[in-house]
Amino acid sequence: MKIIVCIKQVPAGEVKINPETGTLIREGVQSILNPFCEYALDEAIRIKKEQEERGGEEVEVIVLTMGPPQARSALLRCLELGADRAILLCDRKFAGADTLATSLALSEAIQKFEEDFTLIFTGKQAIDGDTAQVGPELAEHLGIPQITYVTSTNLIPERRRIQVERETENGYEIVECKLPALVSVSSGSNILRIPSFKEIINARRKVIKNVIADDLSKDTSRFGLSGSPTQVAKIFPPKSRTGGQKIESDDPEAAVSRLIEFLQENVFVDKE
Amino acid sequence: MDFIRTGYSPGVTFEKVRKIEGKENIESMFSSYTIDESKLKGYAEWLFFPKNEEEIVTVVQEMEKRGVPITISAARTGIVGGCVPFGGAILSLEKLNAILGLGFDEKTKQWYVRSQPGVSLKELNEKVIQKKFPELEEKQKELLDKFSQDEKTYWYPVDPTEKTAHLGGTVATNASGSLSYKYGATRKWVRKVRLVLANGEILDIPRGKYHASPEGTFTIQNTAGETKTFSIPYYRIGTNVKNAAGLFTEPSMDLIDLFIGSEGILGVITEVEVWITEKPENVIAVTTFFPTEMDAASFVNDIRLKDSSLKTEFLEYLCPDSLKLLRKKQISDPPLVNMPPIPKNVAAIIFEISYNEDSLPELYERLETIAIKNNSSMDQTWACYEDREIDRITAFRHLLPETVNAIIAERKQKNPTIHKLGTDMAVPIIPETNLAGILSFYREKLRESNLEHVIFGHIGDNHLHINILPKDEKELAKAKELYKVFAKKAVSLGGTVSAEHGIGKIKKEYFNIMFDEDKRRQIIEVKQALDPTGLFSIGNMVNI
Repeated sequence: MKIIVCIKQVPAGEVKINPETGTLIREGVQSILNPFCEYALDEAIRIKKEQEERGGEEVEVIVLTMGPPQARSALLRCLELGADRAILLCDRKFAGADTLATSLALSEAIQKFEEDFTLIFTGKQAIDGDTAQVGPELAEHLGIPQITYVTSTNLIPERRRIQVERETENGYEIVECKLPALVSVSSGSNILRIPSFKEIINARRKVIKNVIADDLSKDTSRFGLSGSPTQVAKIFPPKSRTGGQKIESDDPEAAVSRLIEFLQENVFVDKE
Repeated sequence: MDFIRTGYSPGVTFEKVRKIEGKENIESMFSSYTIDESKLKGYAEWLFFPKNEEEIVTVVQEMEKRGVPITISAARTGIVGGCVPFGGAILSLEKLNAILGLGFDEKTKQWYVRSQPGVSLKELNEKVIQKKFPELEEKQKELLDKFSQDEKTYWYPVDPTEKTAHLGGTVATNASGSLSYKYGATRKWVRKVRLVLANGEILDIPRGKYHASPEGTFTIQNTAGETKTFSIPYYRIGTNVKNAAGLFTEPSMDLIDLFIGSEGILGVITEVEVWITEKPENVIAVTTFFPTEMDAASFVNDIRLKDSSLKTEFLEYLCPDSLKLLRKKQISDPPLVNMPPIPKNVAAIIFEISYNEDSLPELYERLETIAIKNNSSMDQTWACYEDREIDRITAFRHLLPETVNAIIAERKQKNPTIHKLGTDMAVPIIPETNLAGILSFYREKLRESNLEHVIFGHIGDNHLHINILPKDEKELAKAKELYKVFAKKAVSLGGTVSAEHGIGKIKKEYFNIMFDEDKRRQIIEVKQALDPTGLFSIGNMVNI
């Protein structure tokens, strides 16, 4: 069974934008594996181990990304964390892609090289662009069902189905669907795994396959900037949340009356 | 040359110097200046904030005239009360906080930074690592350009954990930390020191210029032409032991070394030059687990003594009790510990080593061989190389003393007089048997005493901290006795009672185990030659 995990490399920490060009400033900023992609990978690895333990079908986890040469390090991180092999779509012809062109390139790579996949995992979104579009678009290109904002999964290989719990505005839903399918993952452990030195070394013996645009299609104009209908009007970093106001006091009664005052002043509750 | 002349500084008028007068005023608004991280609390009648060397000269001359002792104060991150005054004046150097220049030594092809003493290690390192010195742009443009074009990343590799520590304070205490395993303590990095002596005159000491005479003396001439000759101490401290106790001395020693680590008893540092060096591009921090403490000790010896090409940045230890304490914390507050599950019944060595991608597999194989030999494996390690992960490991290491402090703080609520007892001894790394020997000794005595404790720290330098956590007065008294037993043992092995914390005002009892009356007299004679009226940092290291 093949599970594909699509991942993205993102800048660590706060995103800064060049006000003149409207592009992300990457200089001097370390790159990391997008946290939601790491949750997605963790889910794939968990399934792989579960299948191993119960003597089920062997699972191969393949990580896939499109990006500049340095995106290799994000793939390497996935291999250290247990993925079996990786594919990097890397070509100037892919550059400047919007979500449509990105998902198109990914879908064509999957159709060309890993057509017999069972499941695709993605993160719910990348923490730099925040679009949450590539996963759903990829499912559309491939013509497979998709379940987004998933918090936990239960693979039922004998019925070729997957059951998941997903977040909604009001709570959670349990959804089941036929495989192959695409699942976008929205939560995971807040304590990230740390590979062992052995896993770090083993990862360097695994294969990272390089794919260029010409490998996928004769018509490469559908990729990259030329294949991107989206026009970005404005880009800005989201305002970081302030810490809020903390009422601290050794005397609980005084603290409560200050809280009541605050609620009354801001008309959250009536006076009296 | 063993002859040096002091320089003259005109000083300013005393009124010009910013000062706080009166014990009550200092206590009500500036009480943080009468305490350090040891929580030893003192008091003072004067608090000065000089802005430059001339103002320091003025304060020194005026206080000398009035017979008021001066305690020199930097960032007060020390833990032995070195900057805590008991009467007299506090001379805070925090306003002397400018980086003065960047230099390139054509002979050694090394970069260095000239700085006032009040610059924090954090600021110094940020500027060096980013190669950004806006304050120097006008006067040193060409050199700054040359520095920016240098492809290597540089840093000042002294990290005494408290990055808010001031450079001057770290020179006065010869500060060290985990990185000292590879890079040595502050001493090695100091290129020049400039000081104000008790007579208000200036001593400017570049490294390599002034050396003690064959008889072990220096002669200083003041601006009035008067000369004074004094002898350097002739006691000997082992060269292969990390040490922060006592004045430094060695045959034909460099004068600069007398002042580095002198705990402020000889003069006021007004300017320093420190070397900076290449920062390794890639480092990997590996946490390795061992079934027994002796396996961990043997691993350390194999790494540092058997394979000279394995140059780790540091080797740190967490004993089984330390890990047990952290595991307990992990169960109650997993995000705080922020680590994978901590294994049971093991000891851990955390080491960092620089690497490049090409040689990583070979490095791995050598480390794996040593790990397997010592009943460990690279399978069960935590290996971190991304910055954010290395930060996790650092936080994890620091969490242990923080947890110990929190436990003590809780116990203090019931028994206000108890406190933690933290040792700071180190023994020479050769002979090889020293490490296992001292660890077994600690173990045996701690078992007999039945006191709660953890052992952790800089195992690469045979410098382990034992933290004893007494529950009551009786246990505290027992712990204090045990501390002396450990100190005597360390000294008997040619080691030190203080490898990094220094002596200050609160470790003198242990200092006296290492330095008998005759050795203390040798220190006092230097002090009296340079500071005859006992002006500077009275109560540090020795009683006058």
